[in-house]
Amino acid sequence: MDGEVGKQDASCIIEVLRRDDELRMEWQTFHLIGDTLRQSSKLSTDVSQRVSQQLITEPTVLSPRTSTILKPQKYKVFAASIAASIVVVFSAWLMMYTPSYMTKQTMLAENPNQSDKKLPATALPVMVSSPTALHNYPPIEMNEYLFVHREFSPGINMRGQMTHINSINEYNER
Amino acid sequence: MTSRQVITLFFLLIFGCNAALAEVLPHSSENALNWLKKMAEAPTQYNYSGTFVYYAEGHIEASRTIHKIDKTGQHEKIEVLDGTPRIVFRNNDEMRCYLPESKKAYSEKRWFRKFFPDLLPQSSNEIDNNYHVKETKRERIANHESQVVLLTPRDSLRYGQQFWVDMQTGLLLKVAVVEGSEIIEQFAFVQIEIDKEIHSDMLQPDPSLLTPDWQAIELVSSILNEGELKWQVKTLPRGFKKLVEMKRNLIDKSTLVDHIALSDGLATVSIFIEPIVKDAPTPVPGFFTSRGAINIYVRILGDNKITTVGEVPLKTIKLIGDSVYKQE
Repeated sequence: MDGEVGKQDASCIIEVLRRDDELRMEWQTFHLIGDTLRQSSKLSTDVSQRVSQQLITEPTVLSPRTSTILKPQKYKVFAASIAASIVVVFSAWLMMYTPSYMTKQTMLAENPNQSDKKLPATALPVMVSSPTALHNYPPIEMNEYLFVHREFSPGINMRGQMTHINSINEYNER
Repeated sequence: MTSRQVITLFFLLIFGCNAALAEVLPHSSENALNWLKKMAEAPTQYNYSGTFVYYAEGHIEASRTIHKIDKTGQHEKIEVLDGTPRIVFRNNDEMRCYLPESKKAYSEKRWFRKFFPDLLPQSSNEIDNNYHVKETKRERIANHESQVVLLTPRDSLRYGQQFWVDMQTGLLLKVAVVEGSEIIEQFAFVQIEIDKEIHSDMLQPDPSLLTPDWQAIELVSSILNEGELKWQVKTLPRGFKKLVEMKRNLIDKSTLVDHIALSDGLATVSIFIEPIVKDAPTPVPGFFTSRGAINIYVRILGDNKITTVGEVPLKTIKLIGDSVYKQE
């Protein structure tokens, strides 16, 4: 109001004001009091609603501007803003996919070759090789597990009694 | 920079943050979760009978179901109409499965889970932790108006699900298991009658199923206390919890098999651990898949075979299978 607030503080205050209707009303009241005390000929009035209404009702002009050349200063701000946004997006992506978010096992699953070195001996998985011959592992044996698992799996009655057990030659997600 | 430029930069940063955070799914809405609650309660409140189909990878299979609620609890009959005949009778936690071709009748007590359309546990808290639940549109299924509820997995460790829930009763009319935009399998009623009188005779086995030439096999399981089993899962994938650990007999196996069941509230995984028998065929380790959402991972650890089975992606099956270890 008196121009003494620093730029950084000002942006914070503006942001808070933007979110809080009560604060905005207080801000408006203070301006009105100030104008009254200064005996200003033009008292502050809240024109925001009228401006918003005007913006809504105003037809959108779809024709291009006569000059498309951005002023150097505006261009710099725009470029800096885009860069900052990209940094934020990338940071958020990193947060989501940071190793602490992924379980150790997830990483091992994605890099099965590294699993041997890191897991303790008791949990050492045997390297899964391609099943060479399916007839060594008859479907009937799989059926036993499926038959028992049906207790926990909805609808496995329909999937049980398999006649189509397929080996997956490589660890490769669907 | 002028204050206007600072504000522009600030709002663009806010926009960037919003765009990034949009990837993290929010909590499910109360309305959406209420649909799940309604869906879980419906089979305990309504009789229903009808025909539903299972569809996966171009294969279609029809089944007939009759479900009755009375003072003594839930009673159900499910008969598979295509392929190998199978008839399942359920009386609360007791199950009997008849296989007419082989004339075998399996029975088992302590029945944990149920059949389509009774899929959900009574509490949906775990589901919200692992899936984002959202109401989408309304569609007509088997002549019933239904609300479509989409469950998007919060990570890549599980499949997504889509439910079509009867608007009036909350009964599940159709379900699709999806991975991204790909449908892996579906169950859907093609005809259903809800809340009609069901005579008890319809839930009794046909006399032809009770002749003496049938072989009765009782599947015995012994539920153990937490941590009592010598085999344990070191690190469960995010969102999965142990349902039960037990010892049980498998068909045609002389020794008891250790069985651990896990669930994320919706998807379930079973781990079977058994010693490798010397004169039996050597087990083949690797990944196996079947029709629909089920994946299987066989792993050899010392003299033991670990078989992990579940309706989750291969990655999750491997995580769980590799995490099994023997307690000293």
